[in-house]
Amino acid sequence: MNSFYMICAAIAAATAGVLLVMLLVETLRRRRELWRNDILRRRYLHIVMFALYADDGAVPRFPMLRRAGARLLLAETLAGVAAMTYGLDMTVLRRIVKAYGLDRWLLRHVRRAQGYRRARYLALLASLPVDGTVARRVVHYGRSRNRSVRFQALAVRLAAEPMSALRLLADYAWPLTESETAQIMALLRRGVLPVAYEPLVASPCSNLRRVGLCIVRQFGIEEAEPLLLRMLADARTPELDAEALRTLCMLRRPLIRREVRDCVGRMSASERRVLLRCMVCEDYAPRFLHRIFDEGECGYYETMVKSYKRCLA
Amino acid sequence: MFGMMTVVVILTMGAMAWACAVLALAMRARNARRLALGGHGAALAAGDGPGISVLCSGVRQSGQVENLLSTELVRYEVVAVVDAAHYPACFERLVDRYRMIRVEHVPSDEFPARGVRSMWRSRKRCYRRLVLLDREETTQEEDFDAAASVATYDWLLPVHGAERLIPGAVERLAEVLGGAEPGTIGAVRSWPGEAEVLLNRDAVSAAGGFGQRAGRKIPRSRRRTLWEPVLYERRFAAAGKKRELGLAACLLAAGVVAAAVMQRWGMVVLLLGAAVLQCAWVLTRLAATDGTAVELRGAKIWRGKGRKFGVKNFTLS
Repeated sequence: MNSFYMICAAIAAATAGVLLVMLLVETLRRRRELWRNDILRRRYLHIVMFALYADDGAVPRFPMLRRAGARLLLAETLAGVAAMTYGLDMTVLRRIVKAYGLDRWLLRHVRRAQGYRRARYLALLASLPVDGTVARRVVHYGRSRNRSVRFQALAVRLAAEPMSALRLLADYAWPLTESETAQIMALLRRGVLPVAYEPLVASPCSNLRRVGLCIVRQFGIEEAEPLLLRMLADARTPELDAEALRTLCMLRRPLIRREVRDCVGRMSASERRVLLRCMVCEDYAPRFLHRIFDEGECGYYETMVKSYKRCLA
Repeated sequence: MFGMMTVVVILTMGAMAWACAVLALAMRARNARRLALGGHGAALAAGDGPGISVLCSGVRQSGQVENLLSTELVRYEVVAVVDAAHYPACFERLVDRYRMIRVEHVPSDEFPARGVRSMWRSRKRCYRRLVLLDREETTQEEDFDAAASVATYDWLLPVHGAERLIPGAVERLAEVLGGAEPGTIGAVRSWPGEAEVLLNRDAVSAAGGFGQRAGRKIPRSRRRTLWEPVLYERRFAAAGKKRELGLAACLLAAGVVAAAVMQRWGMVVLLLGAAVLQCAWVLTRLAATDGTAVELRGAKIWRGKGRKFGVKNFTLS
């Protein structure tokens, strides 16, 4: 029994030792992040903005780049600038990425990391101006077991090869979630991907249709109405039909249509209530609602609409 | 006695394994949060993600409402329930500050609520996401039912008392909801931190309201746990807590050495188990609050990672 206790004690001591080391590393990292990174991040951003403004062909010099975590800070700064600026000329950022080997550095970290950390490095790569070589080197992460890694690998390829975006999206074997579609839209808003909604909405691939609907919603493309109605009439996938109906709503198009009535008829009671709440946000009048919804649902709608009306009494 | 010690040692080893598993989950959640806040949050802020209504009962300070409103998610609103008869100053302050207008309140059949005196909506552009209900103070569950009856969105986050949102938490919740197949999530729980649950509106409605413990009626397969805090409560941390922790660590180390010298291996396991639990707890707290400006359950605020790139606080038109 004594040896059992000794084995347990050894295991407990090893665990305690590992946790103490982790605690020490974490505390030091936290201290570094709190005190040094804030200042360094600000300085890097200032240097990048100045380089973008001057655009004299020179590669700016970043201080303390050899310190731990500084390259990651620089990559985050560049990714932030690229993500939050519309119509940015990427030449300066590309020059910085090449000069400091950020793409190679990130690829090395992608290789070493696992799970969400790997996905995070891939997400950074997707935000930076990288070339086709990098895209080819992340292809095999598209077969990862981790969903985030798979999608971020796709995002890197989309950012690096925008001309083959349709093919890449069509080849992606997993259905895109709302978050993933939102990230593709962020790429699109940066001007990386083309805004051609028609082939997307009319495509038989559900991922492409989802992205197409998102484009129509976010850019408020009213000309897409016939396409949306055709999609509702075809009734191929219930989730996408509901999304198409929501898109029509968000475009504030008339809903008294046969296609809409049929689609609403196919929906469950809770889905219909979700649609009604969406319609309230888009200011639809309750006047003709009884042609699509039943009496109880019309009452529910009117209750919500009244809650937006100013009380004059 | 010998048998008892064996059982205690096995239990200690089990507790250590549990603590390490929780730590691993918290670390994983931290990495997921860093990934989400690095890019997705801004993407979801564009207005296409899931909508969240925060239901707040027992508001006493306007600062709390300000905290709840300070999120970048577009499809988001705060429904605060205040008893104007008992707390007229607080009610007046909110009405003045957010320039609220009185609107009609019609009782809903989805969440029957009684005792609502009036309903107000904010009209100042940057705060158009606030709804104020003047309701006689009864129970929190009834407050939540009343708030849910006027909520716009499909996800309800009940906030009790003086709880506040941890920065980025709502975006993270939206990320979790947006990352799942539609209809697969009924509730999102959070651990550690305050025991709050983000609930699907239909699930609450089907359960008969908040008074019926709606969260427990949702099947386990449709519940998700977010291994990071969402809300915190401002309290004053005990002074000298670090010193106490250091003293406890020294005493533990001395105890371990003494027990090892006396070859009391069972005692060594117990003491090392306590040390492991302590370390795992501290590390979990660090992982859970990484990148935020708040320490759990404490008023101690530290400087978090600076957000250099923000998104304007969009509101619904």
